[in-house]
Amino acid sequence: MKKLSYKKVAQMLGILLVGFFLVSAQIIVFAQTTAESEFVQQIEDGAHILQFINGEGNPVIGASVAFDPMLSSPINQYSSAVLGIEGNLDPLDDLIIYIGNGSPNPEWTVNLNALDAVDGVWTSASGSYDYKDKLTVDLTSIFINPEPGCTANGFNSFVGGTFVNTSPITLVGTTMAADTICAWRVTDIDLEQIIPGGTLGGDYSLDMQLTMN
Amino acid sequence: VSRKVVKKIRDVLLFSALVVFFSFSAEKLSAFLDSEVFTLDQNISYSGTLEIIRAPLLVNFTSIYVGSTESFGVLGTQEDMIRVRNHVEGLNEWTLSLAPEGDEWSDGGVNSFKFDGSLEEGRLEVADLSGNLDLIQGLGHCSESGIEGFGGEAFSPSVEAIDLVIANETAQGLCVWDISGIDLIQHIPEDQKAGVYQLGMVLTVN
Repeated sequence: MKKLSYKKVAQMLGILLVGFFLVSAQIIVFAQTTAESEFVQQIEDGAHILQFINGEGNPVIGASVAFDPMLSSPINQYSSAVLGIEGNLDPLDDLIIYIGNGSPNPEWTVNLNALDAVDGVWTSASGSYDYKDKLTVDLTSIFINPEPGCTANGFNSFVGGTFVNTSPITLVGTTMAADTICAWRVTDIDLEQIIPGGTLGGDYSLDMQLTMN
Repeated sequence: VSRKVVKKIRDVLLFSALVVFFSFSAEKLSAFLDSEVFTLDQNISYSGTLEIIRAPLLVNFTSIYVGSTESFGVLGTQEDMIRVRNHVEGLNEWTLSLAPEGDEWSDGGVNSFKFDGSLEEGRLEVADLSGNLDLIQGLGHCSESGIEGFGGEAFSPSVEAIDLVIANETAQGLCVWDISGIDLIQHIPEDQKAGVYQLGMVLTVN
């Protein structure tokens, strides 16, 4: 191994020292200026929280809702699913729609639609089929559970419906009588769909979107 | 000097911490969600089996008077059909056949007659089903192509099963069909005593 000469070592130390003093100098210069900082607190009017959480209250990323597995059939058949489930043995299996309204405006709605409401279809590796005129939302059993300190006052009653065009279906909505700065857990939204006869076997999926406004 | 530097560094670090803190706050604010994307899943599978998923529980032959020697029955009607489902991937050929389960027509007592004897002893025949266009109905998108009616046989000691419908290699796979209108003729001994006679039969698809 090549030995480093004292000269080289001295040069390297010199570079390091220069570097150190440069950094120090910068800190000193920075620290010597008056550190004026303007504190900004932005409170957005209409700040909403809409997200899926599990039974432990943690966000669920990439949530999915499974319909009943079906056998391929040449004739139309029905399958169902539940959007929003709480109370599983394992709370991590829960999927709860968590709605928070941090706005002074008590009126808001949560709508459901396909992520691509124009061209979206159920798709799998083996084929596809339309969800329009086939996918129905039934709100008969919907459960709105206010967080502690909040009430379910001022909630409108919606029945759901079948997706027929690009229009969303309103799941939940409030009036001026609803609480503000509150949150609710929503579960038990029944979904039903008609699987067209002749649909080939496969794992089909359809991306959906909940929107709060 | 070094004490001053340390103090300045501490101030800078504190300021940096504040900056970081407010950065986080800003990030948290922008993370407020007003929409959530998720996926609906639907699994559709094949049962992987070839099976009869429904069949008539009872086939009533025509009531006759003592002395009559023929009675007629129809296996499968529009309302009460035989439904065959082929959910075996890669399989197109199958055969639906009819065979007796019991030994004789019996009134549950001492009276009986044969289904596999001579015309005089009693014989059960399946009508010729070839060319019967109403016999097979594919459900939904399922085609009747490649599926034919057979029959045209009578049970005997050497004919223990009769093919009713045969799907060949050109038949559609992964489909369901309804089969109905299989005409049956039972020849009855002339001196057979009055009674309600029954005979167990079994349908098989393989």
